[in-house]
Amino acid sequence: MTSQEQTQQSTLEKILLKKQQAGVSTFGGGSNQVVDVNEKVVKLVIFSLGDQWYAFYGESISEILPKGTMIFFVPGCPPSLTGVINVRGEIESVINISMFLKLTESEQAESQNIVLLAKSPVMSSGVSVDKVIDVVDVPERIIQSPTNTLPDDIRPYVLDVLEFRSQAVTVLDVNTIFKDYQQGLGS
Amino acid sequence: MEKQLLPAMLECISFKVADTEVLIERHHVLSMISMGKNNRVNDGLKLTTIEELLGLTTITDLAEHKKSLLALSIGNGQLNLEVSDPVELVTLTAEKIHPLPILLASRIKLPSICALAEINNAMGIIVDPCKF
Repeated sequence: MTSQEQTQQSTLEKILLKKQQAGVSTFGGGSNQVVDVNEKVVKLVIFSLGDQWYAFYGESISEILPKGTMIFFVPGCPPSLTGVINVRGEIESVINISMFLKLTESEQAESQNIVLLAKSPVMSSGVSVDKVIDVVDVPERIIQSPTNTLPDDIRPYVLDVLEFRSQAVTVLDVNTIFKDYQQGLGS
Repeated sequence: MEKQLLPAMLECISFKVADTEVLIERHHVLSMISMGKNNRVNDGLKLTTIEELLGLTTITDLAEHKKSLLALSIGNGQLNLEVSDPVELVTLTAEKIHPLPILLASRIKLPSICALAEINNAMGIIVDPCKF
């Protein structure tokens, strides 16, 4: 390595070091981000229900179905069970998660009715949400435990919370939602 | 142990109720009578509408839609079911018939809905008249 190369490398290292020392976030910051490739990340499917943002861990979502996926009504179901969908010959139920979580009407505005195909170890179902915000890998370190200030109707279904694009995101637990729904909770 | 073979086809009577395709296995149907222009049959006959049984309200104007009467065998008895025309005989292949998804099966309040079927690019319900 020539002394010129050494000088160039050290300059680059200096720049990187300086940015790391400045505490530039690896996530959700401006254009001058430094990515730590060794940092543990988790995949999240972030979506909105009204003006609130929620997420499921990526491992529990097998597919985001295209907008306009036909949902077929089945008589005799509770209002929160919108109907069934046909996903390449597999028939799945569709749950309206806003109704299950008892979110108020005003929080359900501007819905695009996107269906996420969610799975737990024992079952799968479609879950309708208003909008899909993003599917992202986020560093584990920005994920925090839920606070006690969450509304009672939502608290049992919250795994974690985080901040994404300056917005609070509540990570929901597919397994518990499905288990409770099967046992008759939710209207 | 002898291996049981599943039938490859299922014959059903199909009709629509408020945009939902309803299917009843053909072997339940004893007879079908068109109720004609006045939608009337023998006044003494006790009729039940499919809307009542499925808990649906219909906006169908009785005067505009012809009706048929299906006499259905239900165990030891008979159920006279009033449905809207057209009533068709359809044959479903086994791959077009699906069990109820787990969550739906655990929450549905109508035990007569026993399966789902792909029909006319939509999903229909297969009902067991013995469980109405």
